Amino acid sequence: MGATATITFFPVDNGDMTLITLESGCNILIDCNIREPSDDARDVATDLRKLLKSDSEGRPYVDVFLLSHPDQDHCRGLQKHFHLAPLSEYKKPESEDAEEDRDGDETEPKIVIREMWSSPMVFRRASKLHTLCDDAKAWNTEARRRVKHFRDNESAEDGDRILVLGEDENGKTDDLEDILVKVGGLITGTNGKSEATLSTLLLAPNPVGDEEDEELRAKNQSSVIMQFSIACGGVPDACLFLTGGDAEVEIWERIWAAHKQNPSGLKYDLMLTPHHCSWHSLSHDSWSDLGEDVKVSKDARKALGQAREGAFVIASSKVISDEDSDPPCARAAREYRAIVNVKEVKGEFLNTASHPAVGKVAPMVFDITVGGPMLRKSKVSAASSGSGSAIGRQPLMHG
Amino acid sequence: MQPLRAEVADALVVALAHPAVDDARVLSFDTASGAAVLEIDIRTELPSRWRANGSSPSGVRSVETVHFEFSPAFPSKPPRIVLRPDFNRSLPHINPHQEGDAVPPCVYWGELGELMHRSGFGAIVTQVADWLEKAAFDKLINKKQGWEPVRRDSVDDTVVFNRDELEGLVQKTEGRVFLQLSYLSYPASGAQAEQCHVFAFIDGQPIALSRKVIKQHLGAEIKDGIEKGLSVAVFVWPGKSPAGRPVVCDKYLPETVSNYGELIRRADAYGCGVRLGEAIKWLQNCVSGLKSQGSFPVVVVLCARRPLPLIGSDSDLELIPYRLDASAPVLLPSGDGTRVHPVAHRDPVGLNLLRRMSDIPSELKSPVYTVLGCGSVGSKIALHLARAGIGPSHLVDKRSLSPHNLARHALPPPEGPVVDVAVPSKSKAVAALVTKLGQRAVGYDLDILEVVPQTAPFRNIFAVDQTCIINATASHAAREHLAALPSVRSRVVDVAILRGGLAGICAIEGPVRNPDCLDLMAEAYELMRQDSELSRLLSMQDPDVPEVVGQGCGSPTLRMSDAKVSMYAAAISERLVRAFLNGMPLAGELLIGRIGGDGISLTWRSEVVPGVQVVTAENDRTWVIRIADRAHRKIIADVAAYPRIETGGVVVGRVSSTRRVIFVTDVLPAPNNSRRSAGMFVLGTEGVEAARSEYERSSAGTLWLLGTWHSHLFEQGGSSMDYATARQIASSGQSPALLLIRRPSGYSAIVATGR
Repeated sequence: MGATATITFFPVDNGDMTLITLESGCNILIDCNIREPSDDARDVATDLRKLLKSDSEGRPYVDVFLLSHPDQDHCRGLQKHFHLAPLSEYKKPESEDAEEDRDGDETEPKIVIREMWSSPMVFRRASKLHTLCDDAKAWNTEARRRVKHFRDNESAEDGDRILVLGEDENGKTDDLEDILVKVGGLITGTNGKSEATLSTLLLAPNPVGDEEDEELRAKNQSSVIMQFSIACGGVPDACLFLTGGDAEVEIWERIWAAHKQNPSGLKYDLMLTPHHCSWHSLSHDSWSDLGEDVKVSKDARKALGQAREGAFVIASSKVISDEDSDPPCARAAREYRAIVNVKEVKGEFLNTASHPAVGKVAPMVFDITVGGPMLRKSKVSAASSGSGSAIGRQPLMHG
Repeated sequence: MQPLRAEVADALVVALAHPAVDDARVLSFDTASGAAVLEIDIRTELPSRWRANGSSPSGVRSVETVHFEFSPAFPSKPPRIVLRPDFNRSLPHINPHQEGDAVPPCVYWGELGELMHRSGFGAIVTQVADWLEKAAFDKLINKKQGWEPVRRDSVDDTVVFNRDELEGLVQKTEGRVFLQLSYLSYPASGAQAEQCHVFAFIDGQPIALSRKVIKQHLGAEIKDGIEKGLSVAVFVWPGKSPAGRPVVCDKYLPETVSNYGELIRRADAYGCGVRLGEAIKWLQNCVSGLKSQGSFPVVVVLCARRPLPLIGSDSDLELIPYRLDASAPVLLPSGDGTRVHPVAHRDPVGLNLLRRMSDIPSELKSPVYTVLGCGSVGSKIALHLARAGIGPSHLVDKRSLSPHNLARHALPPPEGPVVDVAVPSKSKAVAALVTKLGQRAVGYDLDILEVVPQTAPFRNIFAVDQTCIINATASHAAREHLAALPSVRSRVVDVAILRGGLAGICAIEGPVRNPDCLDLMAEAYELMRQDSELSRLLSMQDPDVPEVVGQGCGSPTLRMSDAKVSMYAAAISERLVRAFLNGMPLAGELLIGRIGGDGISLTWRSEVVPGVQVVTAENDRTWVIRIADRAHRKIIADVAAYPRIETGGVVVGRVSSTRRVIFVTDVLPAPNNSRRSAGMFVLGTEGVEAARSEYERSSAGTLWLLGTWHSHLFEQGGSSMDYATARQIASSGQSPALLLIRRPSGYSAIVATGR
């Protein structure tokens, strides 16, 4: 048996960055929001790199990078930390060639993306509702390169692979069958190889075509929504993990409509709240305008409320306060707590910005066990117990 | 109300600050004694579904309230830790306890007190938290490591038996045997003074028990409050199920047996209850004819077959011993309520145990070797190695143990009065100790100088297939003798401590005894001569007066503490351990150790000594010349520098005149006023006198100028001129004189004596 499978949520403020690592060692990175490290921004790039393996050439890699949607807070740092070109063009930072390309003090080798999982958004032109940041443009360029590579070669190797999640309108994805995953489809592997302990269900985005849905097609509405089912110790669905980018209330209502007969695809032991605990995933009303008069969308709540016994709901956001900021929204947090607090669930709502404590954030790690996901305790050395010494950590006055 | 004792209050503070602790409270405390119980709520992270369910499938709750019982002896002694009485007791790593009592987890593999004093009370809390987390996943046993035997950590009774021997008795069908038990019973110390502890040994040979012979197997005498006696042990094992499969007990049962009824139930669980019942019934029958006698221990060893091999073992059989407080003529005075105590098993002393403790592979083929000389150094080396499970096969020393030997020796003082001291020969006494360590060793009180190798027992002592012969006699005569005996084929390891312990030597002969121990001793003199401090040791005079060890009795031994002897003996033993593990060195090896000015630092210099060139004198074949590699290489180099003319120089070394062996340790370059030509080499005089006196000074007379060497351009031996020169040197008082000739393909030598 290999190592324990884990799911790691990196503390990235209002943004998403999640790493799934399977028992086989295979990993899937969902979004990234790598800011410049500072007192307020943890160095999550270093955290991530510690969890990655390197290939025989010494290149760090992820087996899969899933970009839920091309928003800045889901792909920040992509160009700086990831290799977005054919593997043949990979340059080690110590080589002189790379020296010139180097951004500032960046000295770490770039991370290879063996397989991209991308929404079909990459085939669309920027709309008036939707301007792309540079990292997103870079993603699109690389995704298009890989699609073209597939069209030209009808196969692909590590570093050239791509899966397109969801069909595009106007038949732009019709000839991509082998690399196209339709909504409702299952992915049973990663990076071209099958994975015995993982099966992934694609719930969204749905193809949208008519002009009325122009607004729906806006970036937050086109997020990839997936249910990962991770096996452990002979339990095939030891952990169901639901993640949905920034999908908003209309999308969740549609999803509920499609699944209410059989909501098994929406069940979860672990859920990343959409859009950093935004109120707009749960309601059509404006929290800042209406305050406590807002109404929760019943269907969206049902779609987001399929918590299994003991489920954890994670808000990847800033610290949730009572101020009327959104996201994260205290009212939304209250709603999620209500979902997990019922006696059938008895689960827990957690926030990346207060794990393990506000101001002292660290990646939140869940070990996948036969009994479901288990929050990993931060290891404490025995001797340090009870010795939270202030010496050297704060000024000490002496009279 | 009196405040809580400060040490316990501190523990409470530490507990409250511990990240795994939700809350902690004082449950009770006794101001008078200082005893207290803390209730500490320890949180275990559980996976989502178990958490919602309130507990793990193995029954561990998200928050377990754990009692820490602080005795008045805290903090000298750690608190006792117990879980709730309804905690799942089928988990492993639970200490023995009575059924219904709070469950005591075994949270640490070592002494909990040691952990606490090393890392603080918080470390104990961490240990409990880790234990609970593993318990939650039922992963207290790492199945890859093997089956965890029933805990016996806090048990006071001990029984020694050879597990392999007992397992060898187990058959496919269930069964039982009686075995002889010898035991010591002694009062427990401290608070449990009314109880007795038992230390027992089970002999692996089954005995046939009957009413007739039972008396031979029972009986005890009491001396100084300690009861020493004989009794019986019962060993029972499981057989097959009705379906024909071996009965396997895959359920971990913590130790809760405290009386005979519970023991029978436990034996039933292991599949050997019926046989135990039969055995006890038969034993009852046997003792029923005896007169009333007090309580005596009967050891019952239950055998459980496990689903996987036990930790650190290839066997899936777990042997679980108990002590039954029996009596006669009624075997079980309280019937099913007769008291039973769990007993801890210990392996008997022997090769396997000693090697395991000494980190020596158990599969290592035992080296066969002889130790000559069982004085301080020899006895210590022999026992160091025997304690590592690689003891000597033969020990030789002609002398008996004398009182003064007790100042420096591995042998303990004799038990009896002084007169007993001289009874055993040193060699036999050391051999007896080696035998007690479970290894075969024979002692011979022989004078090795009188050895006739082809006769018994010398054939054993000098057996050809021995790994080595360790010469610890510190005798020049013995060294010469060993070097001279052609029938000694094993490599000799010569060990000696010099000059009151200021230096020590360990010389390991090369393959096929080249270099031999005399070559190595000459080499040692050369190395010591080159070192200013060691050369001073060479020139120190032996004491004129021997140590007085009794009226009119002197001993040639020197003053030196036992500890100082041990410093050298320990280091040399370690070198020998490596030789036995990795093979003897590929060449000769010379180790010179010395103690620094601080009197405690021992440093060793290690030299590889290649084989010597052996030449027989052409004029007298009873003389042998042995040329050290150093001298040989210098000669070859000099000849290569003068390929077309004769060259030469001065040879240095020592002589064993009794054995007629000349050792050439070095050559000095030709003096400047020497003359080289195709026809002859004339050794000059410049600087030779200075070199001679320098050698005399630095080597303290152990090495000197032996003669000359020169080259011949053709394959011919000594010329008439060479013979004349040899005679000339010898008649000048340098006798024997060596004239060494280097021919293109080898050496010739002329040895001239003054006669």
